[in-house]
Amino acid sequence: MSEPETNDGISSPIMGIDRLIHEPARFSIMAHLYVVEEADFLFLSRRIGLTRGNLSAHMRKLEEGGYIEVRKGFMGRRPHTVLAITEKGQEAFKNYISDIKNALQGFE
Amino acid sequence: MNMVPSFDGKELEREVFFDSTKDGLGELLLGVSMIGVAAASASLFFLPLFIIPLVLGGRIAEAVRKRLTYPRIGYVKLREEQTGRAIRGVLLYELLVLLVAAIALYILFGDIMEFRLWVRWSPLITAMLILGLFLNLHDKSGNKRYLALAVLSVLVGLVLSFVSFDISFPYLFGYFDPGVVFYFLLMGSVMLSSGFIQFVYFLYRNPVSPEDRD
Repeated sequence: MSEPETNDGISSPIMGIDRLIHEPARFSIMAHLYVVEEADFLFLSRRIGLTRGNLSAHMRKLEEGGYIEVRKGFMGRRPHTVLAITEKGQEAFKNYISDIKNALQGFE
Repeated sequence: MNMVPSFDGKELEREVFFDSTKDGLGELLLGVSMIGVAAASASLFFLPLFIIPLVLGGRIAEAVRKRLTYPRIGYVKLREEQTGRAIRGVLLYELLVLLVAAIALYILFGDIMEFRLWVRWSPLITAMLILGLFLNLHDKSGNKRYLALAVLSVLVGLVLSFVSFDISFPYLFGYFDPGVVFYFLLMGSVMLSSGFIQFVYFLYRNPVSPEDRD
């Protein structure tokens, strides 16, 4: 299998890594959503330690990528945002983990 | 040198499970159900005390969580284990316990058809059946308290099986030893108290922050 090539013509296994997941905050969001069925905004911001603005920005990127779905509703009288990973997101996360493992194979 | 901590999926699952149960409501509900079983075992008159928590307990706990838990630590729904696999696992474990109990009764008393023997040892057998639940909760959450409850449950079952109660009374199957009633009553009270303390501590430690409101 040929190695992915960047715009600079650099060829390296790490260049094929999914950059949407590679960002640490987005990785954390994906990892949490991968192990649960769904979670709300407050739960994730508490667990990951992100501010509301940051979480919102990363959430939007993952949603645009089709990796998560966001459901807005109400809990009582309060607005309530629930996030869940999509099938595409699950597949992408599994691939990301295996890509990272492959790319770093041989390093201690 | 700064080390980035390793990312462990299983550990993350445990942490999330631990987080989702730390309000103590599950334990409180289990305690109420156990007391309900004790009451219903003592007399059918108290059967509603067993049925009501069984039917409405989940819904009541969810309503309380919506009002008090989720605004504090957020909402999470855990992935449900494949139902068929989970049910098969539970049935297999229960069958195994009953089989071991039958073998033990045969070795010790040479008879497994004597109903009174089963009744006499029912607290320990019940404790062993419930042991699976505590071990499963410990495995899912990594919380050592469930191990302590497992040990306590077996000890209570063992002690109550050795104690002879002279107040056995007629019941559904003709004869009833109150040992198992005391088992459910004791364990139910422990679970109810520890669940309640956890719940109060949880509310105290996790105030609702105005900016956390979604």
